Amino acid sequence: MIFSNTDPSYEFLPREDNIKTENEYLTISLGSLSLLWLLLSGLFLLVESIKLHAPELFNQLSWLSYGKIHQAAQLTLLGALTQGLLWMGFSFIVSNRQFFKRLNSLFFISLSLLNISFIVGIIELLSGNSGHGTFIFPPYSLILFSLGFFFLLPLLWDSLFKIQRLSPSLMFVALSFWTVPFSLVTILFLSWGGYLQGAYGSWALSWFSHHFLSLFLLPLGIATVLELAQKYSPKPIQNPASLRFAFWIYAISNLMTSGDLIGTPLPFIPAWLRSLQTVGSLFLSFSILIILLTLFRHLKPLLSDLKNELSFPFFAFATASLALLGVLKALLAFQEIGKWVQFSTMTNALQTLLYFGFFTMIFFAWIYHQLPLLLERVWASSSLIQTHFWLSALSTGITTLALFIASGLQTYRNAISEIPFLSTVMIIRPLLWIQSLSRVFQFSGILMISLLFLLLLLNWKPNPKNSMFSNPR
Amino acid sequence: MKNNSIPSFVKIIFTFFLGWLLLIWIPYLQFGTQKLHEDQESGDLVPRPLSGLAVRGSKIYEQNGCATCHTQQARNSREDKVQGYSKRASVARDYFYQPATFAGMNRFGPDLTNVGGRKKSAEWHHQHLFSPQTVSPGSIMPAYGFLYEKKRIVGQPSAEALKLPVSVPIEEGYEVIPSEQAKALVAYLLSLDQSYSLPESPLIEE
Repeated sequence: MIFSNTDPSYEFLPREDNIKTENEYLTISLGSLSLLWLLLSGLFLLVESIKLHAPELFNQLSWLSYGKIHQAAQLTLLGALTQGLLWMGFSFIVSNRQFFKRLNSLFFISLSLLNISFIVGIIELLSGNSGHGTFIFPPYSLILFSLGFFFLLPLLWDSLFKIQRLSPSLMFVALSFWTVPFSLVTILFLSWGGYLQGAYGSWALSWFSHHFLSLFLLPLGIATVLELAQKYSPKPIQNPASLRFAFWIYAISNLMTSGDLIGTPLPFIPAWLRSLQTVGSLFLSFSILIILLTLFRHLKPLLSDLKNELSFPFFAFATASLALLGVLKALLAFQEIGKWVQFSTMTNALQTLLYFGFFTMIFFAWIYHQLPLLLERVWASSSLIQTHFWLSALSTGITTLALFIASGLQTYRNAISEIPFLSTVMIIRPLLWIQSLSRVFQFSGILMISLLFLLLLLNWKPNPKNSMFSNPR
Repeated sequence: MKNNSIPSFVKIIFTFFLGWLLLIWIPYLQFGTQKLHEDQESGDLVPRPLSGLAVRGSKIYEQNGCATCHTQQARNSREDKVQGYSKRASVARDYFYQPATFAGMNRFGPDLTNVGGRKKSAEWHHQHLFSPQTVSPGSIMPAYGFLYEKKRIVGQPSAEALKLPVSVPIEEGYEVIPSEQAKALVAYLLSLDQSYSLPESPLIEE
């Protein structure tokens, strides 16, 4: 049995072996599932690209329409990120000796429901039960996801909700876990009450998407950055007060404003709401930049040592992507600037930076750094890890650049009356080919980390002397 | 540990409640409960309600993720004026009868706010959905062949059959008929028309 907490003193006596067993359990369950979903999302993205470039292909199959595959790809990616980031969040709680009381049963039920919700969601999307407009969760999937999440709450009560003073990373984890039940209840209420119609429905759904992305997933990602930075350099962070300050700006301003990192305010909502979102996005960027600056100062003396750390390039890429996102969003938050690139591929570029530049990269950094320590095993091949990094980095970098260029072309050409819309589409088509090609790199990288993960679980190379993995600690 | 008289959980709930009030409740009062507007010229109430077929069509639009590539929100921007998307900016009231609002975030395809006003022919829409490249050369829109049925011609050809160009080969003795889903989708597309004036967003005459 992988995990057992039958010892009656377990709840009150945190011990190293409890940390280890809980982390093993989390790794095997959430880690495997998140990678599995990531593989699936990579496959869906490849099919989406094929459909984009060969629009006539399989056009008799209704379940394989471009729009359905696109929505399914988004949902599978969220399935991967949700579980990957939950894994990290839980792992921080465990490692900070904030123990769960009933990890076995409730956790198992919750995990099952979350995964069933994503499977049901894909079936719903492909069969045409897509719910409200462009909303990411189809109806039954949303109900199952909500149930799954609510089963997690009793686990989190003691470890997060009752604690008065948390570390900065756990504050971000807590923000995530506080936000989701609140926003889920709201959206279920609005949905059942029939309020999600018309312009108000569109606004409410964008509010929920903001909560899901900026107040659930992103704080977990930031918490991972903070934890990893602390692990790279065991010295205490010089100015923890700035991190707490950044946290409160992040949390309060975004709960009150619904600012986000990738979207632009809906033009048809009242001006005061648009302005509020602009302010929220500025605060969001500001708080992210404070955090990253604090961490940069913390890690700067160690940068030369960290070159030997295999997970560090992933970490550096993730934080650089987040910094770029923060700066870009700070600029685009101003409506006079943002409106120029609104509806162009700029949104896709920002999405790529967030999903593949930040979320997946920090997820990979965490896996490569922490797994050998948690499981006391070694990676099978360091060169495979390095290849994975270059594949992921090139894929994200090239895609983002291509989409930036495409956005510029769209913005410039679509405002000239002599240039037909379709001519601009044809001009940016090669750039969309680049995006598709880089998805092949991305998928190959995911295959590599999945293989490495599998070999690690199977303890394929147990002799530490053969390890190519280096750890500054 | 500092002994706070108010538990942290209560503070958190209070913060969430404030955010909810500001972002959910007040917007609902402001634009979730809007009324129709009486058009001065025609005396009609605008926006006009969608037909039952168009409502079904909006579901087909939603299922196939059309909003992935098409927006339905016109702005007072140079791009929107140049592309002829609308003679005014879309406002919240325009979506009064929409079962779901497909605002969209990308324009890989053109904005559809007023597509019913720009392209009034159902035949054009059917042909476009069945084989986009034949009516819009260079388009990257996928073909929605599954919305159409290829049937053997029995007796006279059907009046509903698509009049396809020679570049789309169909076997001799066969014709392409729109399914009920295709008809609903086209009815929905034709219903997308914001060519009326609203006090908060009057039409801009050229």
